[in-house]
Amino acid sequence: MRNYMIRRLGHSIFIILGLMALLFFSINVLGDPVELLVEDEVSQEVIDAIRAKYGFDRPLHVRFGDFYWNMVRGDFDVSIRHKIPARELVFGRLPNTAVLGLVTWAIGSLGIPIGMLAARRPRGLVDRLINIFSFAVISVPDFWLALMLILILAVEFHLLPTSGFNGLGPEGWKYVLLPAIALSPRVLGRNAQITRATMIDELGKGYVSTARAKGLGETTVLYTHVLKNAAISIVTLMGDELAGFMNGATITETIFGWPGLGKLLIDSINNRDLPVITAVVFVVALMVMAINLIVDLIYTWLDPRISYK
Amino acid sequence: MKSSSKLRITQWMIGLVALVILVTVACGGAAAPAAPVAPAATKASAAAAAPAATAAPQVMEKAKSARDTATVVTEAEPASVGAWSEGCSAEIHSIGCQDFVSDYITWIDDRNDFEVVLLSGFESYEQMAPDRWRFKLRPGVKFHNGEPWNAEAAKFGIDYNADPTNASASITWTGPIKPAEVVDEFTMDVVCGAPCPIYPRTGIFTDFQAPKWFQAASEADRSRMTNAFGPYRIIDYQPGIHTKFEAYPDYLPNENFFSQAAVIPFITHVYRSEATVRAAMVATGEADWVADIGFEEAEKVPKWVSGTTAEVYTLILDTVFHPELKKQKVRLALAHAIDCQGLLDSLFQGRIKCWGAISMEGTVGITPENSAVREYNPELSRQLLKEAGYDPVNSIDVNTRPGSNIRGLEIMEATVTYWRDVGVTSELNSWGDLAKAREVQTSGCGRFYKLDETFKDKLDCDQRDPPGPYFTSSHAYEVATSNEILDQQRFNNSRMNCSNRSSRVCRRDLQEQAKAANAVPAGPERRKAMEAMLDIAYEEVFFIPFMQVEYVYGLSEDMEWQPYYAPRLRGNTMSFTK
Repeated sequence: MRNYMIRRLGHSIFIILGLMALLFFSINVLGDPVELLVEDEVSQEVIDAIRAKYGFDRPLHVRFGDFYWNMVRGDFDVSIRHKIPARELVFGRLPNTAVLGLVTWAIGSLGIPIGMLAARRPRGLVDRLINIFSFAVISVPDFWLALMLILILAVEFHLLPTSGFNGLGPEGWKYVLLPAIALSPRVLGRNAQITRATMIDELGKGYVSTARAKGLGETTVLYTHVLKNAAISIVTLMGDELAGFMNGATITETIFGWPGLGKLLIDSINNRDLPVITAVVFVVALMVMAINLIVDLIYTWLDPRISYK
Repeated sequence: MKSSSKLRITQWMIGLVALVILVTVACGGAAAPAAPVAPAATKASAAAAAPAATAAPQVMEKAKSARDTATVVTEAEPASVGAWSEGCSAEIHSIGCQDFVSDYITWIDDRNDFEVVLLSGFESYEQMAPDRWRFKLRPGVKFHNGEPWNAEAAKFGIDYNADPTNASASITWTGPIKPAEVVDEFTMDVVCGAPCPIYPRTGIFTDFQAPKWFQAASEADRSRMTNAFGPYRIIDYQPGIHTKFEAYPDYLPNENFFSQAAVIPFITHVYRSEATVRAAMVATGEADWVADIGFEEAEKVPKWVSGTTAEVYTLILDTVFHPELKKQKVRLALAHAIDCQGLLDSLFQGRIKCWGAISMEGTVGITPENSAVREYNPELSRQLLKEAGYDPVNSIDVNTRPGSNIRGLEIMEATVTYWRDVGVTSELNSWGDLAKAREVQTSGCGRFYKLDETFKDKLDCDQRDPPGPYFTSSHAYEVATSNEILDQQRFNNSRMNCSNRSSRVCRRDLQEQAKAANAVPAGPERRKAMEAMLDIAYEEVFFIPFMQVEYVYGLSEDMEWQPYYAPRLRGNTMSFTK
C-alpha cells in the first residue's frame, strides 16, 4: 500500500507539472491580456508600454522559465486583473466552493435511498415513478432551475434570499441552500439510477438467494449484503461528482453571486489572467487527485479482495 | 398488457401534470401587478439646475435618510476598487472605485443643458493659453485618509493620469497632457500636449488620490482601496462578495447637484450577472437600485427608469482596407438595405428609436440632418451596388460578440440577412471570446506602426496593403461606442484618425480638418466645425448606427433617483422618500 501511495504521488506531481506547462502555452497562444486591460481606443504606444511594464515583451521561453520556477516555489504571482496575489484570491474562494459542493453532494446523496427504494420492486409502480423522476431531474438545465427557484422560493414565497453570500458561519446557511438545490438534481438523479441499477444487478446473484434461504429478512439482505456490494459503483460515482464540484459550479455560482472558484476561473480565462488560472487549476488538480486517492482507499475497505501492490 | 397500458397512461398523466405546473410557474408565476413606471428620461428638471462653475465653500446641511443602507447591484464585478488600477474602468460596475469615492475635476450637468460643472475639489478655472488651463483649488478639502488637498496633490493626480503607462481611462479623453505646474498652494496649471480648448469638458474622468498614501502603498493595497475625496469612502472590500461604503463625514459639498452631501449613510455594492436575478433582488427588497435589467424585467420591479448610456450601437465599416467598403456607394447601399426601425420595433416593442449618428443626441455637432436615419429602400440599395460595381466575390462580413449589447446578436443576424437580400455576400462572425473580438476591433492603421515603421504618422494607410500575417480586415464590426464628453472631438480622434487602432477611416484631408476642428474654442464656431465633421461622416457613411443604447434601472419603492445621461451613479444623488 505504501509503495502504491508513493507511486500515485509521483504520478500526480508529473501530471500537475505537465498540466501547468500546457496551460501556460495555451493561455499565451489565446491572446494578449494587456489588450483586455485597457480601452480599445488607446494608442499602440500605450499598449506597448504596459506590455513592457508587466514583462509581456520578454521572450516566451524566458517567461515560461520564470513561471515554472515561481510555481514550484508555490508562488503564482499577482493577478494581472485584480493586482492581488493569485494564491490569496484562490484560497479565499476555495472554502466557499467546498461548502457549496459538500451541501450539494449531501442533497444528491438522497438519490441512494431513492434508488434503493426503486430496486426493491423492479418494474413496480414505485420503480417506474422513480425512473421518471430521476430522468426528469437529470434533464433539467441548471441555469433554468436556478432562475425558477429564485422566482418561486425567493420572490413569490420569500422563503430564502434570492442570491448572495454571507460567510460560512451560522448567518450564511440560508444563502447556500438555493444554489445547492439548483445544483443537486443531476447528482440526485444519477445517484438514484446507479444505485437502482447496481442493486438490481446484485439482487440477481447467488449470495442473495443464499441469504434469503438462510431466513434473513429482506431489509437485512438489502442493506447489509446487497448495498455493500453495490457500493463500489456508487462510491465511484460520488467521488467523481465531488471532484466535479471542486472545479466550481460556474453557472450556478454566477447566477447566485456565490464567490466560488468556478466564477473566478471563468472570469480569469476571459481576461487571460494567467496567474489566477494557474492557481485555480493547480488547486483543483490537487483536490481531484486527493479525492481519487480517497476513493481508491475506500474500495479496499468496501472489498478486502482489492489490494494495491 | 392491460395493466401495462394503464401504467403508461398514468405515466403520461403524471408527465403532463408536471409539464403544466412547470409552464405555469415559468410563465405566470412572478408577474406582479403593473409597476408604477417612471418616465424614461435622462435630461429634465431644469428647475434644479446648478450653477456651472464656481462652488460655494459652505457645508450644506445634511438631510436625514429614512433608511441607513442602500444596496446597489451591477452586472459585473469590478476587478479592483483602486481608482487608478486597470481593473477600474469607465463602466457602470466601476462605481465603487469611481463615482462613489472620487470627485473628478469636472462633471457634465445633464440637468442643465450638459453644462460643465466643477466638483468639490475646485473653485474655478480659466484658460490662460490655447494649451494651458489654470485651476483654483478649494481649500479645506481632505482626502479620505486625512491628507490635505492642495496643488501638489492635484499635480500628482494630473501627472499620474497623464502617464500612458498607467493605462488611465482619463488620457483617452483628455489627449496628451504635460506635467502639471504648481502656481501656489491652491493654484495649478494644466498644460496640454496640443491646444485643448475643451479641456474642462474632458476632465470628467480625471481623478485624484492621496499622494503620500498612494506612493507608500503596495500594488495590492492600491487595488483594494481608493483614498480620494468623493462623497463616499470604502469601508469594506471583499472580492467576489461586496464593497461597502460610508458617507464621507468630511466631504465638502458645493451648490452643484452632483456635489451635494450624501444623504444615505451607507451603500453596499454587489454584483449579479443575470438581469432576472437583479430584478428579483429589487422585487424582494434585497436591493434598492439595480442596473441594466432590460425592458423584459422592468414590469417585475416596484419602479423603473431608463436612461441613455452615452453609447451608440453601431457598425464600424472598414473603409481603409476592405475592397468593397472603400466605395462610398457600397456603404450607402448597405445602410439603405437595413430596415432599422422595423427591426428595433420587433426587438424592443417600439420602445427604442433608430438613430443615425455615431454620437448621442446633445453632442456638439449633431444636427437633425447628420443624425437622420437612412430610409429602408432595398431597390435603391441594389441600384447603388450596381453603380458601384460591387463584386459578390468580396464578402462583407459582420463581426460581433455575443452579449456585447442587449439584442446585439439578433440585430447583427438580421443585418446579414438584409444585406444578403440585396445581393451582398455576407457572413456573421460571432466571437465568443473578448480577446478575439478585440483583435478585430483594434486592427486599424494605428496598430501597424510597430510592425512596419513606415506606417507611423503616415496618412497613406488606405493607399497600400497592411503588413504581414497580423492583418485581417475587420469588415463591419459592431460596437456600442461611447462619447461621454458629448463633443465630436472624441470620435475625430478615435474613429476617424489614421493613427488610432480603432479607426477604420484614414483620409489625409479629414485628418487635417479634424485637427483644426479640435482646436476651435467652445462656442458657435466649434459647433460649426464639429457639425462639418459629422456631416462628412454621415455623407461618407463611415458608420451604420442603429440606436442610442439605453439602460433600464430597477428601483425600490422608496428609492429616489433619476438616471444620468451616461451609465454613472453618484451615490450622493440617491435618497429614500420614506
